[in-house]
Amino acid sequence: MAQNIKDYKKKIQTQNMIIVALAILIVVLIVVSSTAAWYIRTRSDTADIILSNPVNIYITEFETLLDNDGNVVLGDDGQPVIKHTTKTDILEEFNTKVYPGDKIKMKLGMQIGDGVTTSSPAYVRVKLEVAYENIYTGEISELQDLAELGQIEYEDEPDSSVWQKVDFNRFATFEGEESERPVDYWYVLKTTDLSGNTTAKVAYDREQFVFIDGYIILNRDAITNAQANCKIHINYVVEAIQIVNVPDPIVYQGYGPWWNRALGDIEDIPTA
Amino acid sequence: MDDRNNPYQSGSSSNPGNPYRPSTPTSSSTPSSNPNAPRPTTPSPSSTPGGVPNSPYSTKPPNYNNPIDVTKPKTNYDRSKRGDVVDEVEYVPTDEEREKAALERLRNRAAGAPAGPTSKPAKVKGENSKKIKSIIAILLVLVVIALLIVFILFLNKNKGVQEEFYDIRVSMKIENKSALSIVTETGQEVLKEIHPGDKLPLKAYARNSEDYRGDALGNLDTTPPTTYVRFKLVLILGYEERNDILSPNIGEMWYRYNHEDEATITNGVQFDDGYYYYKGTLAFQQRVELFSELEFVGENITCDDGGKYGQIQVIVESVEATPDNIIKGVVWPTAPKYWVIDVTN
Repeated sequence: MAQNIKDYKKKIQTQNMIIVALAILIVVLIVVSSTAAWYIRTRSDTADIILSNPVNIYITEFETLLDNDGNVVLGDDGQPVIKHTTKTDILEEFNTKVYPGDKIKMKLGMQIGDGVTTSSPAYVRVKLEVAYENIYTGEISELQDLAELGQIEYEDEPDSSVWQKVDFNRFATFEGEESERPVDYWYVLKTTDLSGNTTAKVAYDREQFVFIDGYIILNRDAITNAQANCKIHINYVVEAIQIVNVPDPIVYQGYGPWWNRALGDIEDIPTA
Repeated sequence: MDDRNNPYQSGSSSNPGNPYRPSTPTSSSTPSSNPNAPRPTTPSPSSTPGGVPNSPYSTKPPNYNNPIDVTKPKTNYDRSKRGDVVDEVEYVPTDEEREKAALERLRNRAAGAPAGPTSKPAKVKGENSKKIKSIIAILLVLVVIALLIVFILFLNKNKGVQEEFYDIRVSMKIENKSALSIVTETGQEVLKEIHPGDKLPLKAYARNSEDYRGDALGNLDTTPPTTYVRFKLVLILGYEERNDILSPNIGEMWYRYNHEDEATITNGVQFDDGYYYYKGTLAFQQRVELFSELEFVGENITCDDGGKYGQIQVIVESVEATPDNIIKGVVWPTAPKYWVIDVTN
């Protein structure tokens, strides 16, 4: 009988071993069948980097500071002190109704960086487009056309000693009459050294610039009901681009991203 | 049990202490007056007609004259105090019965039944467990057979896929990493800021060897196989994988997916898998340059990317240069067909 007990124990052990062995065999088969088809060796290496800060530019409106007596506050350089207010929306105050005799002020500027995130140094260019639209006919007129009719007076030109007007479409490929070539005018922030050489000015973080201290005056006498419900569109665009790997947009016209690389990129600039 | 103390042993003159020895009852020894005296019972059917006991369950009247031995086992108490109709005696199993019981307990334990006396449910449970074990074993066998069949069918379908030499080797390294850092005035090495459009003189090489600096055959009798090589360049920027920022300066021996090339081929690949494929093979200990410069494509870097940390990853893969595997698409099925044709011709 003792032998029977031993036999029975052995039988149970054998059963368990068979089940375990089968399970192991299945696992091995799955592994082998999934990896033995072919052999690929992979190796890798890594390197850490950090990208430079972006360029940030913000539209500002500015005003000349006045003291309590209403006098203009002058800075150390003898120039009026100007306070910029960063605009985070689309010039809301311009979406108001104006009447004949009103003066629309266009005191527009910009600021590099916002004080929270640091901006990389950048070149700056600005575009200002003002148009007059008749909402009934859809006809769009330029301010100059209306000025010639005596309906408005306006000032939309920035200080030419600070801003240089550049046609960035000048070197673009164009098939047709040269006189029909479309233009793409921007004002580039510039600086002129003592030798009279003009280059694009580099704008640094937290710097503020005045672009235009302009206006549009609707002539009280010339504006009639015909001009009622017409719209004046003011399209103000500021752009900043890093100075690294970008050629000076005034000195090397035709080269670089702002010129759509019409003549090439920075490495294509012929050396003197 | 010690027979000397067994009060139920068959009576004989040689056992004067037996309380079941027949005697004439007296008035003073009636069951009611003598609580220690067992009550006479009805003769058992197993007893012989002559009253001679033939089993331990003898019905021979006890000898009430003998004193009660209180040192005897507890079973010697007065049964008359209980409501039992049938007198009980202690059962002493034989050795064979004990072994049977042990065997039964073993079976029950194997079946997961609780220890204790054998019961019918435990037996049923044991049988069920045995059946379950059998079913599991059968199922496992079937799975093994099925896997073997699938494996054999797969091998037959892809003849030649099995590599004779599985010792595929490749090593790689990015060199000139110092171009990514600068040393400050305080002597601290920090990462150099990278601007959109920057071109860094980073170089990377791959080598058909386990060790980038050199490799030995070891105990192998044969030279490790010649391999096909491909590599992938990934920039992890702020936890995001970007494949559009890095542009390596590669030699003419490297090929990258080109939609126009693939359009000229029947069953051309429809998408770019992001790998650069070497238009040749790499023999053992041979080295090849992956790229000699990395450009950070300015057009694809937005202001949102500015200021972020990143990691350049160069991943190199090699596989034995067996043309059939590449042509059939068994290995690297996403490889451009243009490269496949080029490298296998």
